[in-house]
Amino acid sequence: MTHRIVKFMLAAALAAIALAPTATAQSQQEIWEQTLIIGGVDEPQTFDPHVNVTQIGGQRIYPNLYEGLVQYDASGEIAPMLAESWSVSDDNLTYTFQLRDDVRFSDGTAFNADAVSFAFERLREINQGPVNVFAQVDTVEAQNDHGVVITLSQPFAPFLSALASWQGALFMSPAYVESNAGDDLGVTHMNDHTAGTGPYMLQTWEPENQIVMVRNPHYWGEYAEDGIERVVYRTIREPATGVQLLRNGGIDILERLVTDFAPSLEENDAVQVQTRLSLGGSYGLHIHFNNQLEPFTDTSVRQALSHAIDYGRIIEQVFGSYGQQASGALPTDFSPWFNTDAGQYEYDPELAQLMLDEAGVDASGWSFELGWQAGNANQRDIGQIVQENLGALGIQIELVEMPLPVWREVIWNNTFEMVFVQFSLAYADPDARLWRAYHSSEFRMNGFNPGFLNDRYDELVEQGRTESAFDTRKSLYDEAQALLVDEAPTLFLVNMLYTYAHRSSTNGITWIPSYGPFFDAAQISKDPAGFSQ
Amino acid sequence: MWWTYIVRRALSSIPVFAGIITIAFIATQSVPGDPLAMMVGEDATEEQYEALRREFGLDRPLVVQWGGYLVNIATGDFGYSLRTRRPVNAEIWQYFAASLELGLAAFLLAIVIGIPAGIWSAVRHDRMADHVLRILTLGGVAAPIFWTALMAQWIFYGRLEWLPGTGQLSDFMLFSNPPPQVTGMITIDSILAGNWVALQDALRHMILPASVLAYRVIAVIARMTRTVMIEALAEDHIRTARALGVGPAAIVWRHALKNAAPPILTVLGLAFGQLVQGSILVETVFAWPGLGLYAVQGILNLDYPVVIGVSVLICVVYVVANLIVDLLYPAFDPRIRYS
Repeated sequence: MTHRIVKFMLAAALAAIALAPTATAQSQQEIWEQTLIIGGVDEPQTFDPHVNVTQIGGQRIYPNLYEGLVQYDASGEIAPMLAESWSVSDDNLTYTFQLRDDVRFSDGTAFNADAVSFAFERLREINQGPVNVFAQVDTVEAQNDHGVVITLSQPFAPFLSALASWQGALFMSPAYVESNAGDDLGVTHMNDHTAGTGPYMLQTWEPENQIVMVRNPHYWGEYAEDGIERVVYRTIREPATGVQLLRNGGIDILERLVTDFAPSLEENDAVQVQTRLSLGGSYGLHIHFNNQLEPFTDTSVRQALSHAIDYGRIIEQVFGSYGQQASGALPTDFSPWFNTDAGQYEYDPELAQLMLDEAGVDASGWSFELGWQAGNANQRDIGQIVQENLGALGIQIELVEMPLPVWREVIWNNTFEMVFVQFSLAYADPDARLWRAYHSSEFRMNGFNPGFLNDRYDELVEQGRTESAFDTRKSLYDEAQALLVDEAPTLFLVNMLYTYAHRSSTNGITWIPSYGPFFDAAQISKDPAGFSQ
Repeated sequence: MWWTYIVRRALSSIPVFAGIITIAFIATQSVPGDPLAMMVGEDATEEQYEALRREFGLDRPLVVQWGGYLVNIATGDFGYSLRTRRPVNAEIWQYFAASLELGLAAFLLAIVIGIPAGIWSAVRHDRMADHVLRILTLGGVAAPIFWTALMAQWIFYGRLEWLPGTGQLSDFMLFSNPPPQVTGMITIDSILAGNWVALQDALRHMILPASVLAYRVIAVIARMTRTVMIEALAEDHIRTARALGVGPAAIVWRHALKNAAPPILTVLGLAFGQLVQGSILVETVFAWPGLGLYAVQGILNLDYPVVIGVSVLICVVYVVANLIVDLLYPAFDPRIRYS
């Protein structure tokens, strides 16, 4: 009898705890208004920009913390940031920057020319992170407090673009780093501490859980009125949960919205769904042939197979209105560099068969492994369509799911037969993709070139890298893009758009494709009317 | 003496740990893929790659690496995560505490609901109550746990808005008045700090994930208890006790349950291990930063120190749980002695 009473009381107590509201509403509203919560899945590797290599982790978070000498403006042009102005010598080897004099790091020390040379020196010494992007940098010298001269060992046309990208956000307080250097140049400490010039600084990092950033007390720029005091990146791995949270106001912005959920969210007034071009967030989804492996060594075979793929069906079934057929290696709408005349392959299975016959090969009985990145539902679905398409020619395709480290390894060691790849642009210049994926020097141990060795192509991108005049570069890269389509080292499939969703009460969200998918928290504010208990 | 028993058990579990470390090590080395591949940039040179290998000690012969793990883990050093470069020690306790908290809550629910349910079912077996309970428990065992989790989240958070949907604390509590970290278990830390508002908040956040996690265990324990109790109640000595006029409550709770206890305890011990090691699916749905999430990401990234660290930790949990169960047997059945 007594234990029945005890059990009843326990249940009543639990119920009381469960259903009672937790605290006064007023301060809850304040906290809500000040805190921006972004739900996503991309975990950063580290918070040290001299060590970080993960684009998606770094690109979406770093610009809130660290800044570069220059930046991209809304139209993708290079604009001032920490440098007010700059000039380039005629031989394109010397860049002179005049720095702002009102910038301080989050620890209060001043940003100056010494900090710039410190950053490049530390990058060189650690020899990780984006050090290879700046491989052409020869010397970095402070002329005076706010003038710095960077000389290159050879002309590198994308230099300013690289400086404007997330990889150029290198500047941290030398005083802070030196006092926390330990015995590894501060790599351990800067892993989860920041000392940058950006609007926010890192407060805590709980991997797989959340990242909390608070305002930089010495920020030189401006915040939106009643803007965000605290930025929280929360890792939400289950897409349905993320959507639920967005609906109920548990998060303000949901990254990488799975497009299946878009229609139901669009009906909801409290939520906005946006689809945009994002250069940083994987714009291209393609399949590499291993160009060094028979029968893919034969250009006409690759071209023939390019005609065998039903691009329309892939777009329709897998992407809906969120993608379009790719035309080479650069993103559609990447102006001004995208070559609208580069060409595309039309789905024509009879032509494919004809071309294979003319090449003198018998495709029936061929069998290849097509590797796809584990967990990537788009690749899996496209893989099945490709399997069918090539099966019609008698080619057997086996789909092999690969965890990321395995995927990376087969690409580096060129041990794949066919493999899915996703393209993004580390900096908003055609060189970022056209060199790194297809120049012959990138076909090496740890390289991303799928075995494509073409002298004319090499010439084009080498010149593109050193020429400075826009018109010259444009025609060089146009030809390079058309050549890639023609030679078909890769099955160019889809250029995708990036979809995200946010509460209607979250205002001031800006989007610059070159920085996609970054959300500039300093410009965001929340409408108090959006708060609910 | 029970304490010499404990010491003997502790010593005999050392080979178990060494075995777990070895198996985990062999497993991670045998799986294809190179964790360093994700740590170097897209344009890294071979020299940079090799430098990173050296930095993480992955260029040493395998036997040396294996020996390193055995020695370091014995002294409590789990090494550094290959992905985040943070010491595994610092990270793993936090995740473990979160899973432990959730697992303990689910465990308590399982005992408080499962055992009485099983007993009730046994006492009324083959009547309506029994049938209803058996159908409910069948649902618990048959339904995939992520479905149950998503449904619970959708109904109680999405639609009814009675309970929070994710996380251990509400944002408001987190940023205005969080309890200071002592054990890493927010409910306990709140009690220690006397922060009753935070305790209430934390409990509310635990209800959904703990219930979902407990559902399956309740089902198993209820069914097990039912079976064992039915047998125990059919024993001769029970009939004798009834004949002597012993009341029904005493029959069930004092006489039958004692005989039924050992198998139930065993199941509880195993269930405890299972609950505490972190259910990846529940943690994913409720964004509960526990060991399951940590372990799976470690596996997907081929983060050797994390995988080995988690394996050892889970092994510890099972060893301790089984030890406790073995220590409790004699309390129920005096015929069992420490050997």
